[in-house]
Amino acid sequence: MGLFDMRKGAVLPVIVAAAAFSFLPAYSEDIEPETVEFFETSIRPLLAETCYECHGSKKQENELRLDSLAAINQGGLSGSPVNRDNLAASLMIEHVEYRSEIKMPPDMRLDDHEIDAIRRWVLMGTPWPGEEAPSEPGEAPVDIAETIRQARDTHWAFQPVTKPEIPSASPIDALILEALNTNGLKPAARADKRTLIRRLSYDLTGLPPTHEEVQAYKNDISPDAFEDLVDRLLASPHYGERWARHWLDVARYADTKGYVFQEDALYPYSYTYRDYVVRSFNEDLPFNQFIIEQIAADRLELGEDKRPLAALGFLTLGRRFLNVLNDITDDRIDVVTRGMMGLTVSCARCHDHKFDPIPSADYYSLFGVFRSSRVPSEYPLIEEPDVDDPEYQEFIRILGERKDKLEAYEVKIHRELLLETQQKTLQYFKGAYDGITMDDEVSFKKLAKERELRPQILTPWRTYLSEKIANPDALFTPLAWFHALPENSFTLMSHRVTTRILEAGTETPINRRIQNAFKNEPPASMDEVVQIYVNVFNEIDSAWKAQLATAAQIAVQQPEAELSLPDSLADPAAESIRQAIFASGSPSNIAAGDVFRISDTPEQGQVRTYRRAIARHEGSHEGRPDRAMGFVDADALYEPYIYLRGKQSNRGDTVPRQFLQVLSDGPPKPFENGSGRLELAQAIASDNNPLTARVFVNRVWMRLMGSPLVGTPSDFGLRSDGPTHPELLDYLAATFMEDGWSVKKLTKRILMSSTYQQSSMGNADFEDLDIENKFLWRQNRKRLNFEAMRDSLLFASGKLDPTIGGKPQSLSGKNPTMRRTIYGTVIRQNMAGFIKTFDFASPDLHSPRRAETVVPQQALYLMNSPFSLKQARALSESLECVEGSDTSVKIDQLYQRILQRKPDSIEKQNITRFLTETPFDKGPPQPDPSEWQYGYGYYNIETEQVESFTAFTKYKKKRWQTHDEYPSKELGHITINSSGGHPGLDVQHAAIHRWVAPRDGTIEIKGRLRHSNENGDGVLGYVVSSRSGLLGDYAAFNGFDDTAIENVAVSKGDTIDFVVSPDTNNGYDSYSWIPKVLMDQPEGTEGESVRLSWDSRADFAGPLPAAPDPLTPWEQVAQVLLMTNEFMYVD
Amino acid sequence: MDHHQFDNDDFALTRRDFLQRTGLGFGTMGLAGLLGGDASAASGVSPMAPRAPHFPGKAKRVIHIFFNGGLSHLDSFDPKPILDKYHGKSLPTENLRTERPTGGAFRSPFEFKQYGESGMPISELFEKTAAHADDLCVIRSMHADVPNHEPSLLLMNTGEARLIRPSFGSWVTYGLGTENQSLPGFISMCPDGYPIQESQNWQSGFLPGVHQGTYINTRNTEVEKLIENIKNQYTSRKDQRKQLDLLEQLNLKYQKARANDAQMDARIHSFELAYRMQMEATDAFDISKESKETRERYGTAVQSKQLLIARRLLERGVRFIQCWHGHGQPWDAHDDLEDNHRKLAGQCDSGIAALLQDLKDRDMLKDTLVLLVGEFGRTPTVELPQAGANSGKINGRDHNHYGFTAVLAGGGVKGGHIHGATDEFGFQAVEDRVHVHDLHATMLHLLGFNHEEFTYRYAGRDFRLTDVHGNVVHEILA
Repeated sequence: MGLFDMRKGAVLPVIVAAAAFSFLPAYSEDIEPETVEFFETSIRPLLAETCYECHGSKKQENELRLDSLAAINQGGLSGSPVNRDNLAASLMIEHVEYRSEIKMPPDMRLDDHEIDAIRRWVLMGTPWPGEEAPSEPGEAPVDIAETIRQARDTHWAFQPVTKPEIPSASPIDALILEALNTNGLKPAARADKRTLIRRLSYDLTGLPPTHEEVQAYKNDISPDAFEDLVDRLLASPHYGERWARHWLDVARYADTKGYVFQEDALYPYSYTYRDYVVRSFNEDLPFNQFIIEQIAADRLELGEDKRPLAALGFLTLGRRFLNVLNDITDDRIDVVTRGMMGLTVSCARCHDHKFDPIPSADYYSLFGVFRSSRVPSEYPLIEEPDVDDPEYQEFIRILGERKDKLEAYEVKIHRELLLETQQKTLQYFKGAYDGITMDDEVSFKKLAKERELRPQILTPWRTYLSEKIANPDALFTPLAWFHALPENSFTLMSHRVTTRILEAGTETPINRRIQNAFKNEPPASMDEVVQIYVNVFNEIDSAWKAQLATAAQIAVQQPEAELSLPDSLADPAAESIRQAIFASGSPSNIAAGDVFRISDTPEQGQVRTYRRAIARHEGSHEGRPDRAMGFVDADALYEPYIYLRGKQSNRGDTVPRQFLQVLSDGPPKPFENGSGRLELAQAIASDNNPLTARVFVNRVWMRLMGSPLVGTPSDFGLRSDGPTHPELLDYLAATFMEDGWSVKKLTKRILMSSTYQQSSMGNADFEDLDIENKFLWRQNRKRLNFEAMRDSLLFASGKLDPTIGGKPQSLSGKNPTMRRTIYGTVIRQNMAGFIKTFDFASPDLHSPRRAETVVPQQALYLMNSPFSLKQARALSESLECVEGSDTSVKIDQLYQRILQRKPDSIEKQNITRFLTETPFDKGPPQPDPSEWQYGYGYYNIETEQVESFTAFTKYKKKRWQTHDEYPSKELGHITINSSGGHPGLDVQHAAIHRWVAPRDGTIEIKGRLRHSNENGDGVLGYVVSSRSGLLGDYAAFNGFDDTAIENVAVSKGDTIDFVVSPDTNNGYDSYSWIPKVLMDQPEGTEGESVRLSWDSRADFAGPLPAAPDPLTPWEQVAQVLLMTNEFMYVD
Repeated sequence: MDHHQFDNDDFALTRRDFLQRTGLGFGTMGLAGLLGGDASAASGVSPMAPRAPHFPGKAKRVIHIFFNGGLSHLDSFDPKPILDKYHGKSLPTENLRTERPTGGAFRSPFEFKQYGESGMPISELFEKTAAHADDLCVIRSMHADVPNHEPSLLLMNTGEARLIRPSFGSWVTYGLGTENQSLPGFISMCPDGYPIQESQNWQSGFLPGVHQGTYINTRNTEVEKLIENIKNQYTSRKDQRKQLDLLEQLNLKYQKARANDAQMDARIHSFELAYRMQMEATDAFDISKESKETRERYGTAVQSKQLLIARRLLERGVRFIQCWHGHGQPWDAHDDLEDNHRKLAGQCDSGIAALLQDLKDRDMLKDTLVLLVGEFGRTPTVELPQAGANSGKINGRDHNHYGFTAVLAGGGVKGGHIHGATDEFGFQAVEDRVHVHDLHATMLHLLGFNHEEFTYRYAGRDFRLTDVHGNVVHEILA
C-alpha cells in the first residue's frame, strides 16, 4: 500500500465486482439443438471475431456490448441493436448490410454469407444458448435491488458498527498487539520524551514545542505528565487550526471560484467557513452536529448565534464550473458522499455504479436534494457590525456610493427607454410583429439592430404580440385572423377577413375602434394591417396626451383647485386600448426591473460592470462584516429524474428525493421537509449509519499514526481495501459515538495508547517482515506538510503572528503574511507554484490525503526564496546572546530554537568549522542597474539634442511621476508607465524614456507610437542618441507611427532617448509607446551569456530595491538548520 | 526491549556510499512498479525519475505548439479551392451550427502550393514549415465536441471538457518521469500571461501536484525571472556550496539512526539537484548562448524565441513542452482573418521550421513528437456581424469543432502523410474521423502506453486520459 491512493487498473477488483453483480441465467431448454449448433458455429465465432474488439468486455464503443443477450437487449447509446417489435427493422441488420450511415464492422463489409447468417439469427429473435430470452425487451441485465441487498448483507463497511468486547485496559494496544504477535512482530519501545512532545505538538497543533516546554516536560516526572501534555495541547487554540486544515482538504476549500468569465472570482466570505471549522474543532462540537450544520444549518433552530450558518460553505465553496448547475451539483454530491461517508456516489452520474451498490436513481435522489436548494441572493449576516469601527464606516460609505451610482444609471436608462417606447410605438409594433415569424434569435437581433430598435423594448413587445395572436382578445382578433392567412393568397382572402371583422357579433367581440379602422379598403398586406393598428394606437395616444395636457393646464391656471388628473378615456373602446398598450404592465410601459434582463445589450454590460464593482467591494473591503456563504431551499423544489447516461436531455424515470438505498433499512422514505437537506444530513450523521463514524475515525487515525486503517480513506466501497484491523476500526467508531461524537475524546483515546507513543525507529528484522509497517510495530515518521513547515519557519524566526481567524491574506508576493498558513488565500485558479510544489491539497477536488513528493523545487524554495532567507535572518538576529558571546553558546541557542535540543560535540564541531575555516563572500554579484531610466526634459529641435533630463522621483500606481499627487499642480499629467505615458504642458517638459547602452555594439530599435484620442492634436515623438543626435522623428494623432530604426552604433554609456512632447495643444496627450532595443551579439561574446534585447514594457520597473545585505555566516548557519531533515521530519 | 537500538556502525554511511545510493542513478523503474502503488516518496524514488512505459515507445518527448484561439485549417493545411467558386454565396448545404451565425462561403485569402516529394499542399502562411512537408503527418479529420474555447481547450489538454482532470503533460510525466532532474519535466510557455482557462490547461488534477506544468512567461527578457526561486539574492554560489556541504554533514549524521528511510534520502539528494538546477535551468533558458545565425533562423518574435528555448529544453531532456502563441486567444480571427493569420504565422513559421530542422540535425526528430494544433479550426463560411461578438467586418471565420487539422511530426508518425478528410467545403470531418480522444490515444501509443491501461485510481475509479474513449489511429504510425 503506497502513500498514494492509487493502484494498477487491477484484474482482481473487476472479478470481485462481477461477482457482486453476477446474473446467472437459467439455461433455456427451449432452444432447439439445430439452433444451438447454428449459433455456435455461425454466430458466436463471427460476433467474437468481428464485434468484440469494440463491443466486448474490454471496450464498449457507443456503450454497446454484444457478448451476451442481456447486453444486446440493454443496448447502447443508439438503443438496442435488435428491435423486438420489428425484427426486420433491427439496426444490427442495417449496419452489417451497410445500408445506413453507420457501417459495421467499419473496416470491411462482412461476406455475404456472414451477413445472411446475422440477418437470419436476428430474425430468429437472437436465440442465445445459455441465456434465457428476456421476458421484457430492454430489461436491464442486472437486478440492482438484488445487488444492493447483497452488498448490504455482506460488505463489511455496510454492517452495523459493533463494539468488540476487549478485556484490556487499552483495547487499542490489545488489538494491535494481537496482530503483531500473529505476524511475528513486536511493538517498539516508547519514544523518548523530546520525541514525544515534538510529535504531540505537531500532531495536535501543527507547531513545534518551545525548548522550554521540552525541558519542562522532560523534568516532569509525575505519572500523569504525558496525559497533562495531551490535555494542554488539545485545549490550545492552535489545535483547531491544525485539524481544521485537515478538514479543509476534505472540503476542497478555496477562497475563489476557479475560472470565471466575467464575474468576480473571489468568494467574499469564504473565510467564515474556515473560521467555523477552526472553532468547531476547538470547541469540540460533536462531529454529528458538525456534519448536520455543514449540510443544513439553515434548516436548524439556531437561536441568537447565527455563526453556524457559515458551515454551509462546505457545500457552496466549490468550483463554479462556469456556473453549469449540473456540474456544481455533482461537486456537492461528491464532497458530501466521499468526504463524509467514503462513498463514491458521483460515479453513478451516468449509469449505475460499476462496482458499488449505488444506482443512478440514488445519485439523482441526492441531485434532487441539492438542486432544490440555492445560494441566497444576499449572504446572511453572522455578526453584528461594529458601527463605530472606522473601517466599517468606510465600507458602508463606499458601498452606498457604488449602489447610488448603479441606481442612478438604472433610473436613467429606464427613463430613456420609456421615452423611446412612446415615441416609436409604430416601429416597435411592426418590429415585434416581424419578429414573431423568426425562429432564431440571431435574425431577430439583426432586425433590432438594422431598425435601431432596442432589444429591451422589442423583446417584450414580441412576447406580448405572439401571446395575443395565440390567444386573441377583442383587440387582437383581427390581427390574428390576418396573421393566419397564407402569404400568397393574402390579397385574395383579405376581403373576406375584413367582412368577417365588420360583421363580427357578440360571439367574437371585437374592439369597436379597431373594427371601425377596417371599414375602408381591405388591407393588401400584413404591413398595412399593422399600420392600421398603429394608426388607432396613435389616435388614442394623442387623445390621452391631450387630456393630460388639459388637466395640467387647469392645474397651472387654478393652483388652488384640487388637482385632478384623468384616470381613463371616456370611450370604453379607446380606454381598453389605452390600457392594453400604454398602461402599466403593457409592453410600452417597460418595468424598471426588466430593463436589464435582455442579454447582449450594452446597458446590461454596463450594469454588470457596476454590479461587479459592488461585489468586489463587498467581497474584499477589510471593513465588511462577516457573512455566511449560505445555502437555502429554493422556492420551487426540483423534482429529480434520472439523466440517462448523464445527459439532461435523456429523460429517465422520476425519482424521489431520498437517502441512498444501500444505507436504508428497507426502501428509503422520500424526504418530506423542503429540499430534504436536513433529513439527508440526519441520515448521514446518524448512529445507525455504518459509514460516517468509521470514515471519520479512520481519518483521525491516519493523521495521528501516519497511515490509515482503511487504505482508501474516501472510498469504503466494494473495491476498497478492507481495514487492516477491522475490530480496531469498529472499536474506535463505537466509542466515538458513545462519547457523543467527541473528536477530542477520540483523539485522546488514540494518543494515550502505547501504539501511538512507540518510537519510530527502524528495525532490520521487522523491516523484512513488514516493510510498510502495516501492523504498526513502530510509529510512522512524518514529514511536515506545507503548512506545518511554513509555520515552523515563522515559529523559529520568532515572526509568527498567532492571531486566530479572519480574512484571508496572501502567502506570496512581496509581503507574505506572517500569520499561520491556514489563513493564506487559496486561489483556485492560480495558486503560487511553491504551494503546489509542497503537495498542498488541490482545492479543485475533495482530497482524501496528500501526495508526499520530494522534488528539487522544494529545496529551491528553502535555499533561495526571500521568505525563507528572511526567516533565517530574523532568527539569527533575535538570538539572545550578546555581541561576541561564545560561539558555542550561540550554536546552542540556534539548536534550541530550531530543533528544541542542544547540539552534540560533532555537530558543534561541524558548525564551528563552517564558521571559521574559509572566508565568506560578500553575497552574490548584483545585477547591473537597469538600462532604462524614466524622466522628463527638453528636446531642442534646432540642435537635435536632448538638452535637459530630470529623472522622475515618485513611483505610484505603477507609473513614474513628478509629485506625490497626480496630476501635479505644477507640471500636470507628465508621467511614464509600462506602455507609454503622457507629456507635460510644454516642450520643456517632454516625457523621456531613456535607454543606456550597457556595452558597445550595434542596435536596432522597434516600436510604435500611438495616440488614441480624437480630441486634442496628438503628440510628437523623437528618438535621440547622445552620440549622434536625432535618429527619427514621429507624430501620432488618433493613430500611430512606427518607430523603427536600424543599425545604430552605440558605446557603453551612450543614451538613447525616447522623447514625447505635446504638439501645439497639450490636452488629450496620453500615448502608448513600447520601444524595444535589439543588439547584435557583440564581438568576442559567443557562448557567453549577454543580454541582447530590451523590451521597455517587460523591463519596466519602479525604483530598484536596494540589494539585500548578504547573509552573515551565522544567518547562513541558521538557514542550514532550517533546511535539515531533522527540522522537516517528526520521529 | 532494546532490539531497536541500532549499532551505528552497522549503518554508517560514507559520503560516497550515500551518493551512490541516492545519486541520479535511481535506475529506470518500470511503470508497472510505479502504478503498482508503492511509488515515489515512500520508496525514495523521485516522482520525476525516468520510467519505462508499457512497451518501448518511439517518442521520448513531446512538444505541443498551441495555436490558441483556433488556427483556420482552411487557410493552412486543408485547402478547399471550391470556396473560391462559392465565395460570397451560400453553400449548397446548410451551414453547421457553430458558436455564432455564419453566412456565405469565404475563400482563403492565401495561396497554396505543393511541397516535397509527397506534394503536400500547404498555404503560404507556413511556407517555411512546408520545407519539411515530407516529415509532416497532417490529420485533416480532427473533430471535437463543442464550438467554444473553454471546453475545447480543456478537451484538448485534459481529455475532458468541464471537470477537473490531469492534463496530457502531467499524465506523461507521471508515466515517464523526466530525463533531466535539474529541470522541470513539464513546461508550459506563454508570453504575457495565460491563455484562457489559465493554468487549468496544464493542471495536474488529482495527480500529485509535482506533475503540474511549470508556467513560464517568455516575455521576460531576464532569464532569472523565468523560474521561481532559481536565484539567491542574498548568498553567493560559493557560500551556498559551503552551506550545502554543512547541511549534508548534519543530515548524514542524523540519518545514521534512520537508515532505510528512502524519503529522507531523497530529500538530501534533492538539495544537490536544486543546486545544479540553478545553473542548468538558467543556462537552458538563455538563448543568447545560441549563435546569431541560429537566432535569426528562428526569428525575433516571442513565439519563435520560445521555440528556440523549447529546443534547448528538449535537448536537455525535458519531457513535455507546450508553446502557447500568446495570452488569451490570439488565433481567434472572427474579424480580419487575413491580417490576423498572416501576422501570427509570421511570428511562428520560421521558428517551427527552424525547430524541425534542428531536431533533424540532432537526430532528435525520430523520438520527439511534435504536435501543432489549436483547440479547433474555423468555419469555411464567413462570420456574420453580431453585437458584442465582433466588429462586424465580415472578413473572419467562426469557431469550428466539426472539422479541423492537427499536424504531427517525428516521434514515430508517418511523414509526408495526409490522414482523413473534411467534406468538400471543409466544414466537417467525414473521412477517417479522428476525435481528440483518438489523438490522445495515438500519442500515448507513440510514447509507449496502452491508453486503456494507463490509469490512476482516484475516487473509486481508474481514470484515463481518454476516459472511456479513444482509438489509436494506426494509419498514421510509421
